[in-house]
Amino acid sequence: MATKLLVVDDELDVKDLFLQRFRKEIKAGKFSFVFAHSGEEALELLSHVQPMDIVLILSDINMPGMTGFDLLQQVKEKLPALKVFMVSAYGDAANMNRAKETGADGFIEKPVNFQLLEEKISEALENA
Amino acid sequence: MIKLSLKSKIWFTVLSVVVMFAFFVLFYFPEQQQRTLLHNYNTEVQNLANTVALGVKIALTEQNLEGVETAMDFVRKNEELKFVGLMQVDSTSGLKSIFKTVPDDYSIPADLLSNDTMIVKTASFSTPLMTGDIVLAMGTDAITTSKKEIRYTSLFVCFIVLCVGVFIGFLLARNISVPVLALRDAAIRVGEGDRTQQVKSGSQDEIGELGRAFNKMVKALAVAEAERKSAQDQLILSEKMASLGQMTAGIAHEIKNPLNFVNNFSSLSVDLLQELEESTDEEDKKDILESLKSNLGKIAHHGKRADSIVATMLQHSRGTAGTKVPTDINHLCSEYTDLAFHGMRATSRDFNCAIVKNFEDGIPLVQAIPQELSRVILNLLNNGFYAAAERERKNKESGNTEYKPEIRITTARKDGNVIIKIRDNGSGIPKAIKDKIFEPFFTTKPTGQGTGLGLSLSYDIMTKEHQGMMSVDSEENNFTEFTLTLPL
Repeated sequence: MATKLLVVDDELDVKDLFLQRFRKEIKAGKFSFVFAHSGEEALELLSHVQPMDIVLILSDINMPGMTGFDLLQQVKEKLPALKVFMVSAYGDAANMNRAKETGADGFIEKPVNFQLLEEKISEALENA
Repeated sequence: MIKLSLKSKIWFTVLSVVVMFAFFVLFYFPEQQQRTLLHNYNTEVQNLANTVALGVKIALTEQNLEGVETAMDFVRKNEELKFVGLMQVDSTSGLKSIFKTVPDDYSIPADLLSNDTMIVKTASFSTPLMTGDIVLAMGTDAITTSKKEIRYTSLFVCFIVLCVGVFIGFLLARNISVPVLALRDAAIRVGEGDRTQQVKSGSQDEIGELGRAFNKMVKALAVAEAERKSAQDQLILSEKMASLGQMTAGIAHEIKNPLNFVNNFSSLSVDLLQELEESTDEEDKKDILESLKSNLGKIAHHGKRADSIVATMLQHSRGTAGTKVPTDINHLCSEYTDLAFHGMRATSRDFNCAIVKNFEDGIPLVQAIPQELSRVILNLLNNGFYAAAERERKNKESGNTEYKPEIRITTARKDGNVIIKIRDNGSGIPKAIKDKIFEPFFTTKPTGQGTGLGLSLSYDIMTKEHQGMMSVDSEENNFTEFTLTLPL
């Protein structure tokens, strides 16, 4: 069964990036991706799609409107079972700590090291 | 109060003194002299009369009638003599009768008194032979002549004094009034802004000292002003540098994103090419080629994006020597809103603000200096972020978590102008300081956090450099909205 991941980022090209990078995995049925371009869109998606469908959220932090942190907080409140990884260009300690404190399950720095990402995803899902 | 100039005062003083002196010299002094003369003359005549009486007395005592004549002749030679008479007084009746006169047969009026033309003095004598009076009358011509002489002398002296007075007046005017007036004029000009004024200050008196002190003061003033201007220029430069610095954080972030895509899509494309080489399936190959095409397009796009961000930054740092170029206002606003946003996020991680962009389509290009206009937009946005952040902070302190910071930026075309509005939902501007916010160096931020130059520079950029307008509307605890107007 494909692991469904929700990727939240205001940059539109992130979608193509993920789809291409993981095309083999997608083809093989290992992963499937859904994309949202804002926190609000993400929450909207989550409320409609069967929540258990999506197992992991990858969210950018710096977005206009609802930030990644706001989204993280809301997701942890409403759907605590969902794992959330924060992705950000600002990989400093303050951000990382905040992510941890707010309940993030992982922190990925941009530019995304997809190798590392894959490992972390596996790790997170194993511990589920 | 009648306004009297310094020169008038000097002249008035000098002439008063001269007039008083003239009065004295022309009237009082001569009068006194004349009175004294007259008095002396009277005494002299009396003395003469006494002398003649004595002589007569002696002569009569010696029963020397010739002696009488000699005595009376004593005064004959006197030019002023009118007459001298010997009046015999009858010892029994007391009647006076003329005994002898010089000149002869002069009829002497009885009880003659002095008048304007002659002085009459009487001296009595008494001898066993005769008792009588000597009556002496002397003319006053000499006195009259003397009087005239005194008059002329005093007139002459008066004239001299007048000339000297006028001369002194001129000297005083020149040495006091002229330098003082020069000082006054120089002081007025310095007050109007000319810091190069200097006065002549050669004289050794207090006026000269004043002049030297004045010159020194003006020089010091010029130096102080130059220093102040230089300090101000420094502050303005540091304000621009600060705004540039703030941008840098935003720029770094902005560039990171497109560069990420360039790198990622490049490496992905390399992988895809590898796959293409190995692939045998036609469908698959087609898919891969599609992806490759798309990727290269994205790489080009993001590369250009990074490029334009760098260009923007260079433009912004290039200072004020900018010429107007046709500018896409919407694009500028959008770009700098993103920059400002990222810059703000980079410096205040805890604060997030919603950005609402509302750009009207089809606004034509505007003649503007992009690096200057962008400075204005950045300034207003940063101010808006600060205001919203402050309001959020205060709300949090009082436990209110409902507040959502928001910045709205809109562009519109109206009546031959482009209107840009930047609105924040911060605490607003109090009425009391609303008029001051455009003043240079005015700031409500704590010391060290703001130069107070942002709005005044922005105002100058809008009005002086772009012939546009800048205004503010605000409601306390509600919003602040800046409106920029640019002529098309």
